[in-house]
Amino acid sequence: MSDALAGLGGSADAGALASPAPVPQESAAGATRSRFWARLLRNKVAMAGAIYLVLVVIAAIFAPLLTSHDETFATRFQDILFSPGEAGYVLGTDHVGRDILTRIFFGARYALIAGAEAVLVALVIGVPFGLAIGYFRGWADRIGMRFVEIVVAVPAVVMAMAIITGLGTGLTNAMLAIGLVFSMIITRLVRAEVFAAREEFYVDGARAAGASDRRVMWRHILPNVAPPLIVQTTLLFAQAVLAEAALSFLGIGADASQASWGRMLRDAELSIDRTIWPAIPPGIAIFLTVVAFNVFGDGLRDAFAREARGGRVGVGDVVPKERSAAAAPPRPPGSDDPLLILRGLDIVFPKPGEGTDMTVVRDVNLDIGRGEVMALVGESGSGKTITGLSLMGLVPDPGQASAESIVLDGRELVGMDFNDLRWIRGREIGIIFQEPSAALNPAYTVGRQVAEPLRVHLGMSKREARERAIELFAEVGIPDPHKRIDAFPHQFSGGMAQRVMIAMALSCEPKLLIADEPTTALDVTVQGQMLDLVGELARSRGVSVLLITHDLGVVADLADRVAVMYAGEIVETGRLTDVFATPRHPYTEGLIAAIPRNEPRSGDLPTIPGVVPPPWEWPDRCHFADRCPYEAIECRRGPVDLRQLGASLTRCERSHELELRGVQHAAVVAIAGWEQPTGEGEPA
Amino acid sequence: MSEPLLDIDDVTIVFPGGRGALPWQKLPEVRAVQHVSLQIDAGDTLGLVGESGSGKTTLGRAVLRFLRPESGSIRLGDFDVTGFGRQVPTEYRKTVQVVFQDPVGSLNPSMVVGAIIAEPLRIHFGMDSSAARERAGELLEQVGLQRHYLDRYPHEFSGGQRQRIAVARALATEPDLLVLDEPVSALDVSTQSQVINLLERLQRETGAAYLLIAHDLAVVRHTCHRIAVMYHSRVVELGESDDICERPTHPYTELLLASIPDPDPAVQHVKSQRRRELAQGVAGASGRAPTGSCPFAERCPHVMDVCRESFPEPIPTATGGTVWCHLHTSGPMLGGRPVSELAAGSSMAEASAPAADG
Repeated sequence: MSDALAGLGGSADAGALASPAPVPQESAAGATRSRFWARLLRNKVAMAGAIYLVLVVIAAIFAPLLTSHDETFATRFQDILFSPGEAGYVLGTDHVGRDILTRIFFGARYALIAGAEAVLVALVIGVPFGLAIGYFRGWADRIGMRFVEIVVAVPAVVMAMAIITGLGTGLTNAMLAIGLVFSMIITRLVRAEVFAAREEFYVDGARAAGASDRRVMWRHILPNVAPPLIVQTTLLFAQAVLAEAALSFLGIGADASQASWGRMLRDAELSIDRTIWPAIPPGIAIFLTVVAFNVFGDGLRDAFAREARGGRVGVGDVVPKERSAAAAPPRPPGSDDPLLILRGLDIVFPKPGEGTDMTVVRDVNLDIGRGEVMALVGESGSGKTITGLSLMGLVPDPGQASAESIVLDGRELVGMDFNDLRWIRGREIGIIFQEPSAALNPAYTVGRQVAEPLRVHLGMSKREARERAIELFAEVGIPDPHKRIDAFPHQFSGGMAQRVMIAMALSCEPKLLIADEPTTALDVTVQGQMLDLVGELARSRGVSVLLITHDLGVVADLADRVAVMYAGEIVETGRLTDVFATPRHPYTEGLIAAIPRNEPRSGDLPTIPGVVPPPWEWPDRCHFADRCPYEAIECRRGPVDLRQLGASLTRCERSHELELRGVQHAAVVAIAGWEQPTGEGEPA
Repeated sequence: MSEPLLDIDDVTIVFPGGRGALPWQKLPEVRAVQHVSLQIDAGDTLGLVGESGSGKTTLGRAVLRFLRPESGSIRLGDFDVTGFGRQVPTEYRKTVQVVFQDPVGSLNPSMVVGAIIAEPLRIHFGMDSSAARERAGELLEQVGLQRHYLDRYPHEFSGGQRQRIAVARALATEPDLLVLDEPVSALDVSTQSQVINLLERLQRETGAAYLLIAHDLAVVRHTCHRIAVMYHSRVVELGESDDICERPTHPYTELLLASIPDPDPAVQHVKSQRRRELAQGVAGASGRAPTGSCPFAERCPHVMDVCRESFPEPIPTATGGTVWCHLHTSGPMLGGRPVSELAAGSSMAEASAPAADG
């Protein structure tokens, strides 16, 4: 027992004690707050709106100081209507001789007060109401929503009149009515957002922790529905300014003594036979204020939305790289005439929050033989997925991939014209992803999605493509292909959807199939069938497969050869049986030991202490040294090259002197009635 | 024998059917869990294994009292969980805690770690903010993290670290039972074992019992003393971990075992052959769970007529576990012996012929 505890303190926990080590995408989110503001500040239109609004606020606050005139009866000339500039009145006067500029400044006051009143009322009613019906659902929701629908159906002006009849005229009462109508919009929004947020696990976690319903709503859900709420509030402010103007124009908003913009329009109407001018300044003021609120609101929405998308706006291709002057690295073991030869792949990303680049994949060389299943193995953050994506030209923005050479079936892809490349990739490389349901378009039938590449790349007619799609469905084991072809993706289970993906990837008879965690999202009994299907297709059609996975069991089932990636580098590669039986790199040994197998338990589970460090912490020497149990002085000298050892290549300084343990050292599954494995060979 | 800490007795959980595309259409109800009985002793770990749709998570949520069973009872210590009204007593929330699978979604992104861990401390122990912060720091250290992480946001941590934070929050109330819903399945293998080792150490230190819900039988074998295997709303086999994993008595358990890939290519070769022999029909539970038959019948390589007519009674196995399978009482009459003694396929003929020795 004490041993076990010591082991835990020493190994398992040691890594966690290191500084937080997020993977790149996560740390991108790490700078959320500051990046949100940075993005908002970069949005020139939104900023122009914001600056205008600041000016309006200043005008509203300092209105009495900005002019020497009085809000109501400004001039001695009560019946003269001055033109702009005349007698020192910059914007002229209205029909009773009031200075228009002065009234515009005071009007800003009424616009903002009215807007604030309406929005405040909307929030005070709408947020608790929306939270409550969204959180409790059921009958509360049904009754609440009927009420919302009824209130929204009553025209705002009628509502305002009704309230004014009851409470008396006045700007505040009018805005109370507007706020009540707006509160229903807020209620709907909050309810919809709460519906979504309620499904989050942190909400369940808070409930389990004993938080009361009220606490869960206000403390846990509300902060996370705040972004859309803030955007909507900004937009409603604009609408409130418009509503105030309209009501004041009708005479049921601001009264005659208040210089509201709407009131100014009403006054301008009285002198419309003489000049239209007095209507123009308040008209422009209303127009600009409403536009400013809208562009600022849209800017906020964009800034929030891009947060959610993680900055992925496009994909980039692999650019050519100079052949390094250093001696060529040893050729990866494999067949003499490989289908795919990848040399010197580097992928860099800008370091989050800084201008400098960080390398996330360094100098990857891969050969994939014809009809061979090559497994690319590693933990999250190792760079295995992005390596696969780069072969498809799908490196997500702002990543930058470069390679000395990518030869597919004798043709050099690096430096090729973009359209030719797209053509080759569509036809000769197929790809299947981890989440089949996310990779299929929910709006189209699966048949149409499978037929599309056939029509684009093979020029088939609609009918031929459909026939072929049915054949493909039968081939990948989808029952009733004639019927299922007209079904939509949501009508398929996970396993069946993955079969559709495979049919799609195989439709143009590609030479290479990239399978990125093809079974991770599937149930374990379905996973078995999927492995059989991919293996069978590789054998019968001679398709080469690049299998990207973290599951060494899946690798053992399917792969012929394996490349182990750690922190952006291939650390070991060779034949499956060689690498798994006699690993040559300590990381491979650690991965094999850490897999839970069906064997009796003895002591603590073996772990690799610590976590994969983020790319900006990768050292110039062995990347694994900090977690390696065999680390010695020579591991800290400098970069380690891949070297030949036995039949494998390994990137380890000490590999020649280490006796690393492979899979056979673990106790073998023993289930009564099952055939027992016979060492190396295949059972007869 | 002393009373078990958690006693789930004949629990059935039903979700009402939603409305169809047309207003008058009503979809039939979904029976997510049917007649499940399980016990966990204080300080013990029970593994609940099954695939998606098996009802394992639903059962866990019933123990947490996030939903109420249609029938049956759940008792935890002195609490009659199924007897609670609308308000769950705060004391019960203190007694049972939960850790979810998703290390991203299970921590509130807008709260710092210190506030997340302090919340239950303030609710259940009425600690002021400085005392709660002090205790939260201790808890962080207990799960192998540093005290100064208190002021960071969840997104600043890796998956394994977030899972440790979730464990620290769960332990804050000093619970008697921790429901662990797929706590490691979203983590890398090396991190997986770190978290499992941590959970085991904490169990020794705190004496909390665990209900471990997972789909990976190998992980569960290493963590649990006893395992219950669920398939499509039913528990089909229950027993000691080593017995379940070496002498399975239910055909579904054997299929699950054969489906976990092994990293040894030679072992995996044998396993995958066995898997192909056992896998029948369309894999994956689909549709609604049947009420009056064995839900595994459609996929079972040994299926008999009786399997489609009734759900079997519990049968004690040779190793002291329990199995719900007609193979033990009719047809080949296994009588509690491992199902792997049957050669797959050959029993098909036996099954269709009337049982001569029955």
